[in-house]
Amino acid sequence: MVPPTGLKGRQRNLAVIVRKQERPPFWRNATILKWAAQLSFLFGFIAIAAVVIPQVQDNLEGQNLTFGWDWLRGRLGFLIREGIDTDPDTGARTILTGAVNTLRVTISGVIAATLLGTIIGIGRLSSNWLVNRLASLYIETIRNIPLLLWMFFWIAVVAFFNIIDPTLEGSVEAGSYFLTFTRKGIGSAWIQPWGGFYQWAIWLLIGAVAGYFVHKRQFRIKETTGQETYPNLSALGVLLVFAVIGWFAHPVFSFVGHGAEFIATIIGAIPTIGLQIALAAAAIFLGYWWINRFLDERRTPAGLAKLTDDDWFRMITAALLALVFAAFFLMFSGLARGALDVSEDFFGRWLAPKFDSTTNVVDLPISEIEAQLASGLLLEDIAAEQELLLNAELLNLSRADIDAALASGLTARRIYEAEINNPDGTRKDTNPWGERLVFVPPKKLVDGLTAGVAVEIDEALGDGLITPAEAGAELQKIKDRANAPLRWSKAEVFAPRDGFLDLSPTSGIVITRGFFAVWIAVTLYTASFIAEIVRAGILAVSKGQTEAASSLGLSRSQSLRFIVLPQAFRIIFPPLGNQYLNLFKNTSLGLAVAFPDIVAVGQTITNQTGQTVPVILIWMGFFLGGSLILSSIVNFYNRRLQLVER
Amino acid sequence: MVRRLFVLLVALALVAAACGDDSTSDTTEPGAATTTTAGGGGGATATTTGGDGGQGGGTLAEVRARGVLNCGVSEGAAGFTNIDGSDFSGIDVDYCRAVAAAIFGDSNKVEFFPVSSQVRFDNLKAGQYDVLFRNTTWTASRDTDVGMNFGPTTYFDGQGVMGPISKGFSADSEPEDVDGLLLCTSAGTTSEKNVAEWASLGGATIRLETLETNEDVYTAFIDGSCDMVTTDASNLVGERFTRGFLDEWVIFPPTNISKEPLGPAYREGDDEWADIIDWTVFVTFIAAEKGVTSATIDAAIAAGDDPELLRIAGLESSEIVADLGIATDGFLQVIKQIGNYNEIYERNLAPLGLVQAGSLNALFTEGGLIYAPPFR
Repeated sequence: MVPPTGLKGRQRNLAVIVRKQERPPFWRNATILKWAAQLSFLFGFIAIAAVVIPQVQDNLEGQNLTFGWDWLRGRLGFLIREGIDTDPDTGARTILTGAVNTLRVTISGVIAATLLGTIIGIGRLSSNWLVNRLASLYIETIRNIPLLLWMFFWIAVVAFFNIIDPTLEGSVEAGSYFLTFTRKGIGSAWIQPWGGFYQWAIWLLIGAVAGYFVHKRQFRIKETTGQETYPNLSALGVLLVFAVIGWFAHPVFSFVGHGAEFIATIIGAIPTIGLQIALAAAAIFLGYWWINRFLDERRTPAGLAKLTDDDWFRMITAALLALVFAAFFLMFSGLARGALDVSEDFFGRWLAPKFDSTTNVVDLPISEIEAQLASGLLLEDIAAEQELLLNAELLNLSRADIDAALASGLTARRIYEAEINNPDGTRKDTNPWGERLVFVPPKKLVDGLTAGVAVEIDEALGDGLITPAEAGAELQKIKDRANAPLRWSKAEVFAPRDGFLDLSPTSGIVITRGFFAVWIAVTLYTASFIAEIVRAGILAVSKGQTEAASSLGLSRSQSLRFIVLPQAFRIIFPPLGNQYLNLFKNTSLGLAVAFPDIVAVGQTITNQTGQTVPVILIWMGFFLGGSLILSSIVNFYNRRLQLVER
Repeated sequence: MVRRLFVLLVALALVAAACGDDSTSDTTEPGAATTTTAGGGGGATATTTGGDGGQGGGTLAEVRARGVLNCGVSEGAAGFTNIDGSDFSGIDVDYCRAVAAAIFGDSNKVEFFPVSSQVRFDNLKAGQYDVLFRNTTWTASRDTDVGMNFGPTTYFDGQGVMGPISKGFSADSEPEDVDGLLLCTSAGTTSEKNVAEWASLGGATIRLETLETNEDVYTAFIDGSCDMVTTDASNLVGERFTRGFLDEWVIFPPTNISKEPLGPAYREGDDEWADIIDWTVFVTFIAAEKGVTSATIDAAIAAGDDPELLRIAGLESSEIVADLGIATDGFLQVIKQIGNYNEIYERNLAPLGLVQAGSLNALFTEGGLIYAPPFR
């Protein structure tokens, strides 16, 4: 561009400057136009939504599809094979169970795939010909076959596991196992959180915090003095000390449960309108705070700077937003009520019982059980009597009725059925009480007793293998241990009825065949990709680094641990994150092998309620949210891993 | 330039807003002639087609002109529609043939259209076939929203649970007999909900695994991954038979978990056609009630001591049959060629192990629900 020459050009420039300082008419004010564009876009968007949403609703109605969220609150009435709540009370809990199942398989898959992938990736670089070839074979086989086929393959493999049917030959037998493969799933021994776990967890938490500070202190000493202070070991030691003390002293923290209950009571006492007002006030305060801060920023030592149009618009938008939110909170009580309900449930129904290890409904001392066993009863009979006693009010029974019922072999369940059935066996239209019976299986007689052990004791007593006193001692032992923070529990194959066998869901850990197929398929599949990423990452570290390490006298393992892997990790991490995201999304194929993840559960909900669109929205929200969280974690670590450059 | 863009944007937004207003007002006024929206249009078309079919009627005339009855059946449901190459049999197939016999006097003038459960109603509405005998459950929403009409129920089905006899199950087993067990069912039905309700009302705690297909369910059941199977009893019966476990598996409870009345479905609004279908079915009921079979009908008519039978055969008050729009010996041919309800049942369902006596599908005179209005 040719610079303007002479006076004429300079005058023109000046003129421009002068005109800029003038306030232009509003239709040529850049700020106003900018905001108008924003606003018109917003209104355009709203207008399009206003066209589209009724359209969608209309089309949905035309196709006999409904759209609503009421089903989240109502009971859907179907059961889920496995998860945190197999008989959920509400649609929301049903979805939650599916979501947690997806997360269970994702998290365990991520851990397993990372370990396996790293080992195979290093194996692929091994100078051992066999190891090298085997690793290549694994990678090429697994990653070149579609994941869905792998799931079908693994579910088919389950058919080669042990038969779990006592009427057939070759069946697995009832009893305790360290590890057992059955067609209903894999049972394995496991360390389970037990009665005192949450109280102990507080000790661990305190130990972890103390360990953190010890680590910090030791590390500082090491840095300043150069003296070896073992910061990691000392921190671990502190944690261990707290864990050991807590193992015995954990009942100290049982008061936490009362605290949680107290909080729940307080939350329960807050009226909905109170929270609504608080939220509205918070919105307005937030707006006020933001505007205040904004003005502070514009304040110079010479006083408040002149506010531009843009500044005014920003402040007005902030104020309007605050008002809109405040109005929203005041007009719609659902959000506030939901928040109150959820937090009350969290403290009162979820947290508080965790600190109260006596959860059984039956309050019968062991000596009393022992006396009844001595009189020839079995645990089963005692449980039946307790069930009658507990439901006496509901069933309208007197003590004499109960004795008569026991004498004639009637159980509470039978009496209940007789009441809710017509004489001809058909179901009455309504349950006369609208209330459910409290069931007392034998395992509920003593804290920590499991169904399998109860059956074993009954059988041993029936066969005269143990005396009632021995049974009582055994029960006492079980009860004493019920309050331990953790317990070592073997997998248990038991007979829920004559002619059937099943894995007890409360002992050891049970991996159902659906979970097994999904988990092993996604793990092996993702591991094959991770292996290649790991190999590439290691190869990408310059050879000179390894050579420099060995010239410093580091051993091969040391150079791998301290020199190569830390540098390789920086390269590996971003693609690794992508593989985790893939794994997360791939679990949705579990539908094909009857694993009740969020997709399978959502599909059943669609079938039962016809709510296709809301379920799809929930799926999208879940996978989008999950992916965003995962990728933000990955990004966070990725940023921390990068070289700090100046 | 930029400014012009802004103006354009604003103008666009305004237009969009204006359009929005227009469309919304259209959708709130049903039947507005200016509706240009896909949804409104689609809905309107669907309704009109239904209405037209109704007003025009004439399915019978169409069928006569074609010379063959088009009948929608299942793609395969043991006992209901068995397909063996081009050979069709089953209770649903027999009723298709019965309608053909009533119209043409020849039970072979039928063409069968095996159809999946998803498209069965749409294809009927589109006129691919004239009547649907496809183990279809009669429900209120199908009567109203889906726009079907249903004829007399030919089979009272319901959800059942199936387990091995060897493990102590009998036809009288109750919820508490499945307490603690793992039941399997296939996705896409209401079975999951029904069985959960049944068990919980009966005081039993069950676990339920939902598998993707029917095949998966039986594979899991046979290899022992599931303890029991639950779905519609007709499916259980059929699978039990085709897989050869007739003597080993038993279906319970005696009163089904849910109500699934299966019968013919036809388009709404053609009363003449509806009457023919309904009365063809009823005639098989009446014949069964009188104990008249395909073999004995000639003798029974010759005896001539049952005026209702003579009316059905078109030999007395023949205008009753004629008014339906079919030949006066139409129903006589139905009995002669297809037989009465009990015969149809015996022929198709009894081999699967379905016992008619004592079930809902027995005649009302024997404690069942099979009942026809009088023919006069």
